[in-house]
Amino acid sequence: MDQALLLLLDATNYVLVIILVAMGLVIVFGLMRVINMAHGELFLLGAYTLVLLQQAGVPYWIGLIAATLLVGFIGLLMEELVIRHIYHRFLDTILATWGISIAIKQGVVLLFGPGAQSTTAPITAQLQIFGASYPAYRLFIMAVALLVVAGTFYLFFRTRFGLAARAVIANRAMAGCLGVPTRTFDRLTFAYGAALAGLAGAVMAPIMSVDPQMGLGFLIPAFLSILVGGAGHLAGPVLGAGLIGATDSVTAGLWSPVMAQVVVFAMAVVAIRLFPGGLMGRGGPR
Amino acid sequence: MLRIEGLVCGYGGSRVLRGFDLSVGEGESVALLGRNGMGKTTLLRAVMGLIKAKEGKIEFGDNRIDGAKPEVIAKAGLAYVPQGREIFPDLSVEENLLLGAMGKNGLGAAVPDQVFQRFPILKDRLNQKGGTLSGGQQQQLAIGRALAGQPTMLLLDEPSEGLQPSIVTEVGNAMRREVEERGLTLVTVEQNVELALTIAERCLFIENGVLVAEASSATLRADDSLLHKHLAI
Repeated sequence: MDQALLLLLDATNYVLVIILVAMGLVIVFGLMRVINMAHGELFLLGAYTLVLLQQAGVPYWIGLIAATLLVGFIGLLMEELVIRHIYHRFLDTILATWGISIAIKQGVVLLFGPGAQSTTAPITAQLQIFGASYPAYRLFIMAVALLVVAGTFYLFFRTRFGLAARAVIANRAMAGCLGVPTRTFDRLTFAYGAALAGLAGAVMAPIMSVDPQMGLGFLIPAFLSILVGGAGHLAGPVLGAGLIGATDSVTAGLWSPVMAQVVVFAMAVVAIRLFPGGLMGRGGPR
Repeated sequence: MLRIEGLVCGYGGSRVLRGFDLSVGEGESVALLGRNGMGKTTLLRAVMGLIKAKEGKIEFGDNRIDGAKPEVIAKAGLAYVPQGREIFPDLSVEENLLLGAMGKNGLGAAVPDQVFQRFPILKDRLNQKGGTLSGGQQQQLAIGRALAGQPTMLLLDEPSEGLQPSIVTEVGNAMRREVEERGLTLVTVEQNVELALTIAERCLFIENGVLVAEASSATLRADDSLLHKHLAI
């Protein structure tokens, strides 16, 4: 019973973490049609910002907010300096963001060295849930992920800011003709996606090894979630992450981590074969 | 209100407009007539800032707007209903209208009642997705969206396209009232001569990218030789 409960909690945790990482990627890829290969490195920068601030004695919570804002600002710079010149040049966006990814990663190696850094979690308590002991900080991570999903949906589907952003994405020329400042919305949408990556990095930092490769491990399942779920709607990747994350952690728990990878990729291949546009459909450019 | 002098523009190396001149006064309604491919839509797109002028200038009010971005031109008071309407099909009627109001007047803007007075059907369909409306309703939505920003001047491209005759008349009357009652300045590109004569006081004929003739609608109703000469009818 305990074993099953822990497996369920771990699976939920993993699903929510993937969603947290994928959300920023989805906004940038699904809505702006830019494959941001540097998303994992924005995640990395969020984690290292927290490392740096904690070493300087800044409290965790301030570090968390600072990491989110700083990485959002870096996203703004990325958009202004690079991305805006290559919208609609699909292959070029992959190459350019890959370049940025390498530059950030090597920059981090130069500054911090290739080794792992550590951060401390602000919450160290263990909670008793139906007799099983579970770290409270992991529950905090799950809550943050849920908040991010809810907040993003609210922002894009319930506010006027989101309405204008969706109009720019749906028909940029017409939105401009109505007076919507299209460039401002490009910048803000991209920066929002980047800020979410920074937030995810800072939230995850205390429970993982903070090293220059840490972005990659989450980037692949995040991309898989988008492919499986479909990028036409924000709900697609949430569904995709649910399937990928649950399959991965349940298989890993009951069988082995290696078999989990095999099963996840096999499932992704089958899902993409049956639903080329993703489960939520409308995945391709319209 | 709108002054265009020696406008040259086109796509790539081609020149669709070759030295086009036009002047539209405040509160005036003019129609632009001409065969297909003569540069009517290109003219509207150039005024709206969607394509760049190669030569010449465009003034709106006291400001030069050639070279400005569409959003700046829209904020200055020009609205545009493109050919094919280009409503947002996945957004509701209300959201479409809100975008027209917000784009011009900021995120807090509301849809003015004037829009619903002009097109009452839109009020009944507020929560329906734009793409599910009939062609005539979509045209009303596109015009309503433009009016929601309370523009001083409206560019209307082929409003009758694909609509049944009764709806064409309805749209024509609505536009006529908008000009007479609210003092809207209107430039309409139209193939349907009857609609053009209803909406506009003055008709301009465009041929191969230049203005070749103009006449009042009253004159054209009495003597249709210009219509025969410049349109294939």
